Amino acid sequence: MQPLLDALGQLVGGPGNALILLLALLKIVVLLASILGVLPFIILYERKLISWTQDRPGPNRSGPWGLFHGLVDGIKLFFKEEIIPTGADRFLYLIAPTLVTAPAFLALCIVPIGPIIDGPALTAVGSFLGIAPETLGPSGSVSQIAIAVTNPNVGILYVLAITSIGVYGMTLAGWASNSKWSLLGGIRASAQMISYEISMSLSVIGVLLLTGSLNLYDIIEGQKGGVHHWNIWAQPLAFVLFVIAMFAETNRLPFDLAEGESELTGGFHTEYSSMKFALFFLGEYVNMITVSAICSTLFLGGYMGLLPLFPEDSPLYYLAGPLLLPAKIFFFLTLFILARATMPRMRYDQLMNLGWKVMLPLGLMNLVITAVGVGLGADPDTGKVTLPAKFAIGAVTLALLFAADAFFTSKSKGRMLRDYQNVRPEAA
Amino acid sequence: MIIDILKGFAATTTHAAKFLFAGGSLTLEYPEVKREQPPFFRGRHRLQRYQDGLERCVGCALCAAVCPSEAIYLEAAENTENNQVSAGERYAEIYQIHLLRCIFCGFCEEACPENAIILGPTYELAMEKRTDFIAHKEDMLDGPEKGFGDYHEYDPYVSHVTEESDAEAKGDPWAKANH
Repeated sequence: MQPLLDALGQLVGGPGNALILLLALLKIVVLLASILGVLPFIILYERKLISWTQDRPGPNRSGPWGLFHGLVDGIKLFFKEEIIPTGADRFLYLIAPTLVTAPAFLALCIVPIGPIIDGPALTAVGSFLGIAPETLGPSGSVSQIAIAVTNPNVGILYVLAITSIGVYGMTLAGWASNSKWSLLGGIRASAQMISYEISMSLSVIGVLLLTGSLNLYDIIEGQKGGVHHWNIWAQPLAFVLFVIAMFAETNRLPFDLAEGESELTGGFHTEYSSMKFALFFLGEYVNMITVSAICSTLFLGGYMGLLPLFPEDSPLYYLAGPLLLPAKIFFFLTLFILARATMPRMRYDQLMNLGWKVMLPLGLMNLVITAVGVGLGADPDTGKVTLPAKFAIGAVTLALLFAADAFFTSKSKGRMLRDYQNVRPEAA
Repeated sequence: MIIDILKGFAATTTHAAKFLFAGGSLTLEYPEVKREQPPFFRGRHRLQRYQDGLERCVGCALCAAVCPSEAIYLEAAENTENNQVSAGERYAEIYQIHLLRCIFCGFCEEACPENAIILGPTYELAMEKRTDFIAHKEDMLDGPEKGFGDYHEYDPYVSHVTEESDAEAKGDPWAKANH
């Protein structure tokens, strides 16, 4: 392996750079292959789970238990006719699906899938691969390998920025289709996504106050030690806000007005066919995976398990992470699919009301409570927040959540009763 | 509100889990499982015979006259001593029904004085060429070699509901009755 690195190093300025290049390429290929490979089965799982809630078996014709269904679906979409509407802005029309799909993949690049390999484990990997310690080792050019595609220091800020680009894709799709229904769908989608990004950012800031760093690995290391250290107990209100924002960002029920099948005949992707529609479809599921991964990282401990079972020097510690994170993502995907089976669609004004008048104040109050808790509860020596302080913050925010729930429910009930009084006084 | 939403999730999830482990699917896995038709289902036509093998159709063309879509074409021929096909003076030499014109109303069944033409339980009528949709007499004539199964005496004006069939039908709406 070392001779290969030396040879490549002639081009890129040193075997260290060559190793960085090869590692990056390997990680990108593995991520793309695994996501695109598992996607047909996620589509099948969605259709099957929704069918089970409706007392029917779901797709079971193509392959045993319908396992080939995703592949067959892809082949069908590939063979459909490519229609571009007249008067459509061709360039924007063609790049809009990629503007929806690419940010999802980009945001998935920084999610930590496993712990950082450094120290003695790194020398073990280096000797296994046959790479000299000057290149790969605690004192070499490459001193750590993170089991994530990349690990920028501004981690979570990068995610928030990249998901904002997804808004462009939907708006441009609606605009470039040259059709009024698509335009309406696109505008609604963009307004909805912008509104809920604010609540998402506020809940993320709550977690950042507890952690003190934007780096996703630091956020996960702050939740080390077992399930009682996870951020969900310290920030339950932020978790609820983030989950609701997750549904709104990915345009899933109950927030899928923009693409609802019975609303605007398809919304912003009405005029799309064949592979461009397949890209939208793909982008929606990859977006789901991305926000599930971010939520698991922020609140559920990322690649950490329920108990700190493995010591840091055993290889199982590094292998368990890539299995635990997909399990948590699977849990969130099940939540997405069950919500689609359970909940009716929200009307557009109800949606905007929720985003601006309910979730934004709650997010700000969560921020204030967390800041007070961190200020009072931080250990003066280390500066980290103590565990009892975290539980206290969690209890107070949970009480706020239930109080707000009761308040807003009574407000909407009052509004409903008042409307009844105007229409049917005897029923109020 | 949040508690109500969670109760909704619980209802959906328990329903899905119950379906997954206890079954209860109402889906018929066609074409492995096919549904039994109700007693007077109007499917593809059959020309009946008597018990001794004589055809019932005497070529009177009342069915062709009453058909609202003019789907039946009929040419009659005389019965001779050597060739006694039907139990009368004439028989239908050419009998064709255009299945794409037929609306499966059952008027021919009601009009036939000999109880010859009936509408049977076959509903799988897909063909690959348009000419295949003309059903000739040999396609419709009764007989086990045609795949119609055993001969049944079927008179649409006689009730075939017995006590057993009635009890069975009350339990299962798709129960097989005396056809």
